[in-house]
Amino acid sequence: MEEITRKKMLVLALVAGEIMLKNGGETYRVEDTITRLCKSRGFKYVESIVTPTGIYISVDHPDEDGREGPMHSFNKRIKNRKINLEKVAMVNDFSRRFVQEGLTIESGMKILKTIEKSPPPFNNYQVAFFGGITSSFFILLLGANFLEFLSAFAATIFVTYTITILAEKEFASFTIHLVGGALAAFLAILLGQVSGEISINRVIIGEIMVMVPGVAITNGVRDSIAGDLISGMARAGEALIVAVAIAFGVGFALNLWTFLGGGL
Amino acid sequence: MTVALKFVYAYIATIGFAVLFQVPKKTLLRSGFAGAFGWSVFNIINQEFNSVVVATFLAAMVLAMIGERFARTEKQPFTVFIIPGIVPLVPGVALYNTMIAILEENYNLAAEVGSEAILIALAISGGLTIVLSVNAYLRKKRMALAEKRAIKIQEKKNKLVNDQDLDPEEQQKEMEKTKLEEYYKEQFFDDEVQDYSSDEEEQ
Repeated sequence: MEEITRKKMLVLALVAGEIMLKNGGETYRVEDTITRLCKSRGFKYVESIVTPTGIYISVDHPDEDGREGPMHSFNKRIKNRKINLEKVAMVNDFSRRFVQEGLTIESGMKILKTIEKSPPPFNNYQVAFFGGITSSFFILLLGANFLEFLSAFAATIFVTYTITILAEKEFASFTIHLVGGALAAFLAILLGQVSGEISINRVIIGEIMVMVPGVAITNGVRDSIAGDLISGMARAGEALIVAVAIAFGVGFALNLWTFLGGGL
Repeated sequence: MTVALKFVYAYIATIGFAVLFQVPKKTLLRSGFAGAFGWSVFNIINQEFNSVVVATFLAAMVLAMIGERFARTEKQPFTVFIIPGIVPLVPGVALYNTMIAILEENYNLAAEVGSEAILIALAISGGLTIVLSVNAYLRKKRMALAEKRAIKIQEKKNKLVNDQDLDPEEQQKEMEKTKLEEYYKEQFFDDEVQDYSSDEEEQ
């Protein structure tokens, strides 16, 4: 394999991994995809280490005469992560096609670029609306009454829309969830004043369900069990920060309310 | 409230979570089903045995099985089905209660509900991990079997081609048969190779 092709192939694998990781793919899946992509184009030795904050790949391959070639390695720092599982599925599908159908590296790169640029399947308004649906039906599972159902629906639409917009503007995750938590508690308190039948606690639980880092906690523990200690700890840390941020936000609003003389 | 009604609520809630996580549109309904089924298992076991952690553990196992099944039939990564599905199970309520207890400076209660939250998280990941690793093991075994079968078919083919005593018509017939066998093998084998759904080490 020529030097230039090797480099292009490595970049392709890196871009594929980057899209997956940035959109919520698990680390082992990213490692697996990179290894498969590189091995399919004849790299003898491929090793990749993926953590939630970066991708490290190195490959080695003897050249045409069977002599030892130079070793290549690439690092990529990942700063922002969001969840867009459709893109993970698309890259997964792409890597399967790339391995089996023998696409050229150039056309593969083109496909990856279109995947990267493709808009998410649901826009902000749809996400906000479904956020409302989620939280309201979730508290129905916990035994909420009709008024609580309605208030959780309305309030969560606001909360979800706010955190989506803040995430789009690339605020730190701590800030986003702090604001989200405070807004959730504030709206719940307001709605709680409307009728005595609305339990503030239940509405808040519904609202923060769209923010809780349950997935990060679960993935963190799972990675740790599987032996990916770095990503396990990183995800657990992420989950902790988000949980603390929500708690700060909610706690701030509730405390302020009691301080101003309102009962809970 | 009846189990069926709760199933419907969980179904709708999980579809909402799936939208929040931007899953592909065509898998929405299946994601919802996985979540609702997992939650119903949780609900029923929790009512029978009154243990949140055990119920969560079993529900996560069932959820992982459904997710793997869908991942295979739909050729999608299994995360698409499992991540929205586990959200109704995650200890959001326990986390919230912990936080409220800390706010009220009731640290005993905080430790109690906080450890419950951690145990629930462990139960979910434990359930998922067990099912996924058993499945990965079975898949590896099946792949080895398929490979063995491929070698056998190749040998048979070689033998047929080299066999001079057979009359041409017979040879043609046998050849057709092997081709058919090969076709089935490919179908079977490809399915295994294409399946990226869970952890598998390939050296």
